[in-house]
Amino acid sequence: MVKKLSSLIFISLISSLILLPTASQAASKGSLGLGVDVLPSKVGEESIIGADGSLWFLVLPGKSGKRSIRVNSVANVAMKISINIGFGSYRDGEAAYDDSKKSDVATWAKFSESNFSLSPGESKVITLTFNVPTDAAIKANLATMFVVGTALNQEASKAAFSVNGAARVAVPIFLGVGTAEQIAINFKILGTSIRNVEGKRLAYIRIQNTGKTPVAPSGTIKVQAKLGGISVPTPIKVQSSTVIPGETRDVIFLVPAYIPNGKWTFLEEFQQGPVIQTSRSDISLTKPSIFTKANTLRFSIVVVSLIILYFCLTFLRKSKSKTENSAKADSVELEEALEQIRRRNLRSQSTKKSAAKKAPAKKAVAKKTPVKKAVKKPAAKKTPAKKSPAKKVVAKKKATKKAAVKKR
Amino acid sequence: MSVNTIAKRTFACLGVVLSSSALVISLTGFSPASAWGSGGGDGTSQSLGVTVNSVAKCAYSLSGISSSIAMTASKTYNPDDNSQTSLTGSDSGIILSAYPDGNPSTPCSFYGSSSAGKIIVSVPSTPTWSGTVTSTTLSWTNDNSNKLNLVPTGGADCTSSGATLATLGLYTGSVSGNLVTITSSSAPKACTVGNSISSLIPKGLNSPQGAKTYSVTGPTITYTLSLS
Repeated sequence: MVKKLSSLIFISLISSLILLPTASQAASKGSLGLGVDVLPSKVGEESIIGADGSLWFLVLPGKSGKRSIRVNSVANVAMKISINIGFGSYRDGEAAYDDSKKSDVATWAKFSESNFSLSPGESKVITLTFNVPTDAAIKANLATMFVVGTALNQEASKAAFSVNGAARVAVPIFLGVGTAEQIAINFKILGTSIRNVEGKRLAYIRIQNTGKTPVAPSGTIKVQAKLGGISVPTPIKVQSSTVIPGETRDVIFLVPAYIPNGKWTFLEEFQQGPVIQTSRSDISLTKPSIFTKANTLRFSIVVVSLIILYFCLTFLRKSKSKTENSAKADSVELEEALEQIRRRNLRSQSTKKSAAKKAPAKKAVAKKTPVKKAVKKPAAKKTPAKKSPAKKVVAKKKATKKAAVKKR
Repeated sequence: MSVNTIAKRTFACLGVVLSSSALVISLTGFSPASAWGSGGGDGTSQSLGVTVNSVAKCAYSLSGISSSIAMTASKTYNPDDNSQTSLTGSDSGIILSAYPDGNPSTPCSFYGSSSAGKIIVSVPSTPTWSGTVTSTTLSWTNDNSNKLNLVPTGGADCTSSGATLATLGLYTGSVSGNLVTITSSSAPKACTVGNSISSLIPKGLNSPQGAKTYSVTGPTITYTLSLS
């Protein structure tokens, strides 16, 4: 029993020794990730501006505004989360933040929890309440909510040199202090146009923010024929992206395929909180051009492929005929060579026969003494060597001739 | 048959195969003007023939950021060596994606607005490198002469805004820079970026403890997903 226990302790110790460094390494090499979701307003969180997906508030002095957000971990390690309010502004028509500046409304903000930890895949709902002081000025305020995620055990890195990473999400905040009349919510529908882009019919509805709050109106478009009273039964629903005060932005959507080409009227209605704007636009839907970027690319691929195919096939055909010709030539050469061998064999056989006829008694002796043949053969080979002196003589003759010429 | 001829014939065969397959692919994918496909317009992915809806405020999420990036030194740091040593590291696979709760089959409200979500990279306003060995510290300031450099490597649907695949020098006075924005306005669901990080150990930096191994940590690199 004691032996078993001791062995178990030993095994657990060894396994912990093996596993511990791996766990710390995994923690240091883990990846961080965040998602922040502004939840639709609940009872007591009504927003006059009417933007569920944004942190937009319209609060009277001395009152408070509340919204809920959900922080989601998309990391594979445990994260330390901290939430705070920072400086916010609009730059080139887009929400921007500046870490070096402080927000005036940061002290008015209160989170249900601002420092907590999230395990991988976990999410937490947090409420943000703005308690506006009674003496607050009537004006539009901008701020940024920062949700920062860092590894819970970041110090686990034992590398000689390292830098730590942090994931942060910046959500713009609009806090209007005053009433809807004082902090005006307003926008205009400037016009509608149809563009054929890459073989698709796209509708562009231009919206201008003429108020003091940001807007992201949602709209419905009823489509009816310009002549005759035919109308498309289901209206098209669209949602604008954020348009900040003074800015203009297009709401772009694809004209459904079931609406045929021709002249149509768009009856547009957009709503942002209490503000509703309508517009009527006569548009003309035409067949988009076949010469889209994709089709041009495909056409050029077809042409290039055909050219390559033509050259390759021509080359292969030529090389095939060449190889056929060479094979024929090879077979002719082979036949000639075989014929020569046959002739030689016939000659040798005939010479042997004649020799056998002349000296039949010697045959047996010759067979018995193959060594003599072997001795005789080198002698036969030596004979061409005798020719070399003759060649030398010719060379000598040539040399003497040259010398004679030189003498002359 | 010579080796040269065999090679030529192989290339020709390969050319036949490749060009034929390119022909087949391009011809089968050819779309006439009247066919709309399933891709929709810029920012849409709905199948057509139904009402065009859009999801209000699909949020973005940011993931894949290394909690700690180990930097490799170009040579073993020697306190007596009066030259600069470069440090390199990388952080790959940073994902900017449409929030999982958003319905991917319908376009988000930021349809047509590629600036709706972008990643901005920054370091603290006083970024330093410091390490400790037995209560003695080896440290230096991350400034203009030995700044932390980041070179973003964008994916197909991501591009760097303001610093197109160029070096972002992060040091005091220039603490942030746009790393990337999603450029594809066609149903932006996700795009992945990476970046290579480098810095320098200043020359003439003598460690108080000699050639001991310090665990030196640099400024925390914050990747901010900015929503509009």
